[in-house]
This record gives sequence, C-alpha cells and structure tokens, in this order.
Amino acid sequence: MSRIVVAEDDRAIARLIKFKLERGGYQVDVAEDGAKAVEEINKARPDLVLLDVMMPVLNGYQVLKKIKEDQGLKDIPVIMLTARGQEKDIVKGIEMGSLDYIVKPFRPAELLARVNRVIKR
Amino acid sequence: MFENFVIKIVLLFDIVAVIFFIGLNGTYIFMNILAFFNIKNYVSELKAVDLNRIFRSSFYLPVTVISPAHNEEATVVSSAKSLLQLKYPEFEVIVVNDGSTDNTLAELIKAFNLKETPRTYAKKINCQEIKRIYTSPDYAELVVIDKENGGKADSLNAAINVSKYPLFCTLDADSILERDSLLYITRPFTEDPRVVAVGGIVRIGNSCDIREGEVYEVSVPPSNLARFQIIEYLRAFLFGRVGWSILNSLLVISGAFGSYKKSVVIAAGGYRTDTIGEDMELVVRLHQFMREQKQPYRINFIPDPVCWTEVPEDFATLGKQRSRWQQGLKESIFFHIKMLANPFFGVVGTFAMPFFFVFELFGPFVEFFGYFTFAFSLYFGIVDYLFAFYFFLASLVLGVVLSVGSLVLEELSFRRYPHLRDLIVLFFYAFLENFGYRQLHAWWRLKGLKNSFFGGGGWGDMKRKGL
Amino acid sequence: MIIYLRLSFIRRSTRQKKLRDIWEPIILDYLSTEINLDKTIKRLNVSHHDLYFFTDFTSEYLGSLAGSEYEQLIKLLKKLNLADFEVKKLRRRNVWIRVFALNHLGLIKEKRTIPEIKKSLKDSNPLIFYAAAEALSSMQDADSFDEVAATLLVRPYWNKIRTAEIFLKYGRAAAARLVKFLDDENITSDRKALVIDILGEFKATEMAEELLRLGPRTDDVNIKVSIIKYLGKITYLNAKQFLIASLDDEDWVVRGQAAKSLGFIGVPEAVNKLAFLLKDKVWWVRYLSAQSLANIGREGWARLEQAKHSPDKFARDVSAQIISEMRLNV
Repeated sequence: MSRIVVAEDDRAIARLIKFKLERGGYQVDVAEDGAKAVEEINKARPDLVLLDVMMPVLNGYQVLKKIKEDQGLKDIPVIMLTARGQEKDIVKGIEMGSLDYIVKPFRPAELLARVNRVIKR
Repeated sequence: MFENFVIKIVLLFDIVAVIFFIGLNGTYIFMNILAFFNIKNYVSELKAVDLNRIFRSSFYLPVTVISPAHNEEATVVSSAKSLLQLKYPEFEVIVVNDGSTDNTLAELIKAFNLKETPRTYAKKINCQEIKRIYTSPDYAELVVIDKENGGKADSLNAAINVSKYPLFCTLDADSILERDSLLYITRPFTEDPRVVAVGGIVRIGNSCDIREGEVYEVSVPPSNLARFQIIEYLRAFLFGRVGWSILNSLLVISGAFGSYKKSVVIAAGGYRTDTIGEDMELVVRLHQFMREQKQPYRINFIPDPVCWTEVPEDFATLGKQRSRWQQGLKESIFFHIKMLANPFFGVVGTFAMPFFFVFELFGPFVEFFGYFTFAFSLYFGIVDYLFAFYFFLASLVLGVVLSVGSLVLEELSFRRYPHLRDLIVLFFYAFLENFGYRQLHAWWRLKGLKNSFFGGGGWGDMKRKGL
Repeated sequence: MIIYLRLSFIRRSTRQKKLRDIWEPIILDYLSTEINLDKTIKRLNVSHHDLYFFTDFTSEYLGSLAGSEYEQLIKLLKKLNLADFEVKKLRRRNVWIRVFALNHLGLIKEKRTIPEIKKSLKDSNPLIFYAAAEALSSMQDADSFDEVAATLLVRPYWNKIRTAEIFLKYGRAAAARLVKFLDDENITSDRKALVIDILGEFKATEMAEELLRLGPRTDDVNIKVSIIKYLGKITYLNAKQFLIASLDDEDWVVRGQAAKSLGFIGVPEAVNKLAFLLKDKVWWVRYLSAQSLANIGREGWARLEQAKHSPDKFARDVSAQIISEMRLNV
C-alpha cells in the first residue's frame, strides 16, 4: 500500500484529507507542522508528500527545500496545497520542484485524482 | 507659631497627596471603563474578520521588519530564523548589526550563507555609516546591514533608509513574534488610511515554552519579580495603552513591538539618537508633527497578545531598566514641553501630556513624599489614625481592583494562561504587589528622575529593552 | 468572578470539543456519500442550543472545500434550516451577532435570504454593511452588484482592501458594471483609482481606449497612477507613447509606475529614457527603471550593463544592484 505524508496545520482539513486518501486506498500520516513533517518523511519514506505552504516552525517551501536537498528524499514527489493562489506563489512552488499545486478551497475528489495520477505514474 | 506653620505645610502636602491620589486613580478607572468596552468589541471583531483575507489578498501593504542587534551572537541567528517564519504575503526582515564587537555578523554570514550585495538606498534620515549590505541566496526575505555602532535609534534609522516597503515594524533583539503578528499589526493601516502608527502588546515570556518563534505553552514563571511584572504589563497594556489609544493620545509604543508608516516617520525626521527613550519620543513627535501639519491622523493600539519578551528577574537589572524608562519619559516630555497643556494639540496636549507629566513623571516623587508626610502627620497627630487607615485601605483596594480588573479583562478576551492555578497565583500577586513591589518600583523611578535632572546614574552596559 | 468566567469557558470548550468529536466522523462519512442525508441528520442530532456551534463547526469546511463535497454540505445545511436560524439573528440588536449571521449566510448561499441581506446593506454601521456586501459577493448575486458597489464607493467610511476583495469576488463579469462608476461625481478620486486597479486585476481590456484617453488629461495623481498600472497589467501596446511620456512626469510615483508598466509590457523603444531615469533623484524611480530595463530583454539588459560604468553614481549603484538581484533569482 502506498504511503502518503500530509503536512497540514488545520486540524479539520487534515482529518478530511486523511479520510479521503484512506478511502482511496492509501496509508496516511499527518504532521501538523513543518518540523514534524520533515521528521515523518524521514521516518516513513512515503511515496508522496502533500504539503501545506503555511505551517508553523518550517513553512512548506522550507520543507520542500529540505526534501529536494536530501539525496535520499529528493525523488519523493511533492504536491503543494495552499490558501494563496497568486501566480508568483505557484511559480515559486513549481520552480522549487513540487509536481503540482492545489489551491484552497479545493475539491477532495480532484485532490485524490491528482494523487492517484502521481503515484501510479 | 512656627509649629503651626509646619503643621499647615504638612497638612497641605497631605491634601496634595490625596488630590493626587484621586486624580491618578480616577483617570485609571476611566481608562479601565474605556478599555473594557473597546476590548470586548475588538475580540468580536477579530472573530468576524478573516485574517486570511489579508493574507490571500493582493491589496495588502508590504512590511519591513527591523531587528537591531548589538553583540547578540548567541541569539541572533535563531531570532532571525523565527522572523523569517512570519506569515505575511510580502515582507522583508532587516537585521542590523550595530557595530558588534563579537561574532554577531560572522554567525549570520555562516548561518544564512550571506553574500554582499550592491543594494542601493536613499539616505533620507541621518545615520552612522553603513559598511555593507548582505542578502542570502537561500532566504529571499532576509537583508543584513553591517554598520558603525550608533545605538538602537541609529540602527533603526539605517534600516528605515535601506527598507523597501511602505510600513516598517520595529523589534527588540529579544522580542519573539507569533507567526500571525504582522497580519494583526498591519490591519489598522489597511482599515483606516489615517493611521500612522500602531503599537502592540508585549507579553512576558519567562518560563513559557517558546521554540522557533512558536509559543507552545504559556505558564506563570516561578520568579516573584517576573510575576509582579506580569500583573504590571497586563495593567499597562490592556488598560493603559488601550484606553489612551481610544482617545487617540497614545504616547508610548513599545520599542519591543510597534509598526509605523514609513513616509510619515521620515517626514518627521526619524528616530532621535540623543535620548534613551527613542520609542516614546518618536510617538510624541508624531503627535506634534501631525497636529502641526494639520492632517487627520490616528495612532492605534492592538491588544492581541502576539509579541513575547524576557523580562529581568533580578533586582539590579530591573531597577536599572525602570530608572532608564523614567529617564526616557522625562526626555520625551521635555523635548516636547511646548505641547504641555496646549489646546492646539488637542487631547494629547490638554490631557495625555499633563497626565504623564504630573502622574507618571513626578508620580514617584509625590508617592514617596506622601509616605513621609503621612508618617509625619500621624506621628504628630495632624491627621487621625482612622482617616489614615481608610486612606490606606482605599489605596490598597483600588490597587487590587485595577490589577484584578486587567486579569478579568484578559480572561474575557485572550485567555492566554491555560491553567486555573496560574490565574489564582496571579490574583494573589495582584494583591501582594501593593506591599513592597510598588514602593520599590516608585523608588527606582525616583532614582531615574533624579538621574535625568541631575545627571549620573552610570548605566554601564545598557541592556536595550523597553516597554 | 475570574474563576466563574474560567470555569464557564472550560465547560463551553469541553462541550464543543465533545460535539466536534461526535460530528466529525459523521460529516466525513456523509461527505463521501456513505450515509444519506436523513440518516446523517438523525445521527448528528443537533439541538437548537448547539446550532450556534454547529455553524462555526461547518464554516471550517465551507471555507476550504469546493466541488461535490461542498454541494453535499450545503444540502445538509439547507435541510437543517440553518439559513432561517441565521436570518432571525439579523433582527437582533447586538451588532456582532448580526455580523456573524451575515458571514454565515454568505457561506450557506441560499438565494431566498438575499432580500434580508440586502436590508443590512442599508445599515449605517460599517461593520454591518461591509459584512452584508461580503455575503452578497460570495453568493455571486449579480443583481445586487450595483447596490453593493454604490454602497461601498459612496458611503463616507471605506476600507480599501475589503472593498477590493468584494469586487474581485464578483468575478470578471463585474468589470463592465464597475466602469460606469468612473463617471459618478459623488465618488472620490481614491475610490475611482481603486476601481481602475480592479479593472486591471480583471484584465478588463474593453476599457483600454477610454482610459488611455483619460490618462494624459487627468490632473489627479491617484487616477493617473492607476491608469498607468492598468495599461501595464493588460499589456496594452497602444499605450506605449503615453507611458513613455509619463516617464517625464513631475510626480515620482507616476514616473516609477510608468517605468514598471513599460517593463511589464516590454517596450524596447523606452530603453533610452529608462536608462536616463537611472539617474533620477528618487530611489524608487531608479530602482523600478533598472528593474524594467532588466525585464525588457536584450536591449534593456545591455543598457543596464552599460550603466554599471556610468559616470553617475546613482546609475552605477542601481544597475549593479538589479544585475545582482536578477542573478540571485535565476
């Protein structure tokens, strides 16, 4: 079963995403801040990371940077999830190496579809 | 005959002391009532207003956060890192290395992989020579200025010159901001274009679990002195500052956390470098400047608990700090003495300035003198014991009521102390404060007052900090 | 008294937490259509007393969900008759209760509540009429747009960011209706400037000709700057001449904005003047001109490299800065 780490500090949303992804057949670990996300990614070696941009301790971009700089982790695909859908934010995320960018409010079904596409590739 | 004269004089002082007491506490109670309604309103407003809206908007005002550092090698990197975590759509963090003699700059260069940049700036306010400006390829928001030593005010001026954005926010080296703090403190500027400055609350972070700029747990520190200061800060900020800001006559914005409209500060001449209380002086000057320009303006205060700081826990440091504040207060008032009792300057001139002059500045003097004359009058039977007892009781009750009032307000609004035990401890200290701490505080301020008029004091290595 | 306040707070928050724990799994099941509407309502068992908290609870989801899950949730709220509950609150005296009710109505989006919300638009309290305007804008109710716009643009109190956000929420279609407020004499110039900014955000090109005609004629700096910004945003090539001429304006904000827009459109004809502005006495104009040169492409970049050896210190410094900034970003 594929593993996904979800880094999201809004509890209700994190639970919702976890629920949705679990129904989609994934094993999901939730981290509520950036530092815990890094820890969790190192431990779980997931097949995909879903990153919220605005999180405590380390923000999404910083976590992304850490993933991409780590030889062992840099191939893990990352999808960003954020409340700020401005062009330059999206460009920044993509340039830093995230595969996809989802803007809140989001469609859970679409999220699942995008996750499926990335993992089954 | 002579005896009669002395008795009359002493009686006169007693009366002055009583009038003083009534004036002071009357004003405080008035402020309490103002603040009470305001904060209640404010809390509801916060609930109604979605801060994320500012965050998502493309019509925000970008901010420059200024953090001056002088010999802070131990903490400068972690504090800069936590500032870079702030939640705001567009901001820059300027760390000013004010001629440190330790490794402050080297630590920064190492941690952030700093590179010298040919960044240009307009020198709109005078400041010591800026030697180099650094930026980091890893952290786009970070700018480090290396300059000749010139003190805090001078560092702020240098950073204002270099800053890009229309608002700036000042910090002490040891202030810790919560992640949303910029969203809170810039909101008044976007709500009301007349706003030129906004002050923020400073909370005491001793013994709180604060890591990487995140406040994990708030608790009451074990130190007595810190506990007294918690009561004091709650009172000063929740009631005092909020009350004054409603009257648009806030005279103090803490150097530990405040934000300003850059163009106005530049027009008013930036920070003065020849005073200890540069933060208060600037605010008083902004009042004077805006009134003289005959422009409508507001100086606001937000009561959200978003900035944390460590306070001294030993008598010597605390005493020095309070003496210095008193000296800064004196300087700020005397630099702008022409505003005193001057109706041209509105409520600031006719109410705030006189209040600060009489009660805050000379308060410790009257308080101390009051203790003496009262003891004297009692001894000679000029006033009877019963009156003295009632007076003492009244002052005690008022003191406790005011302190507890601020605790109640905290409980109604922000509820930052999660344990009921903490509240009971604080309640107890609000009572205890009147025996000893209050007198000690008056004594420190009296010393500051003396120093500011007659010189001396020997500040030694000044720890920069301010309410 | 403190203890009483604290205890009642604790009681309230534990109750809320308990309810949340009960409701959450039910809502999640419901959203993935594993249980039907009636069953959900029966299981949620929201008492009238808890309705207050239920709206808070659902607004978290409403704010960050879209698509079919969102529709599902709305269906549930409709069934629970939350809209009527909120509308009733609009008649309360407490300002804040009314504001929250308006926020919730904006999330629930039931068409039949629109007349009630519109009444609040006429309220004299800015908190109320802004909340009403926000609710109407999130309901995308096109019929109320004129009324909302007139309220926000004419009333003495105004909040720029909130106004802008409300207009943006109405979407691109609002542009055409906003235009007519530009001729309204009752509207101050700073608000007209915002209207033009919004047109730029929408990239509403149909106003380009008219604004280009107005640009050189207006004496109002606010409006002029907004027009220049607008022309840049929609990359309007016909505006070249006007923009280049604006580089000579006596107001530095106009010069700076013109430089920025020229860089945005990418006008090689402007490089001479932009290079000249590297010596401008205002730092921002120099900075924006240099940035604009860097954006214009090869010709601009060459000018920037040249300026590094200029006899003028201003030009030298600012070009060096932009060149290093550009390298950092790459």
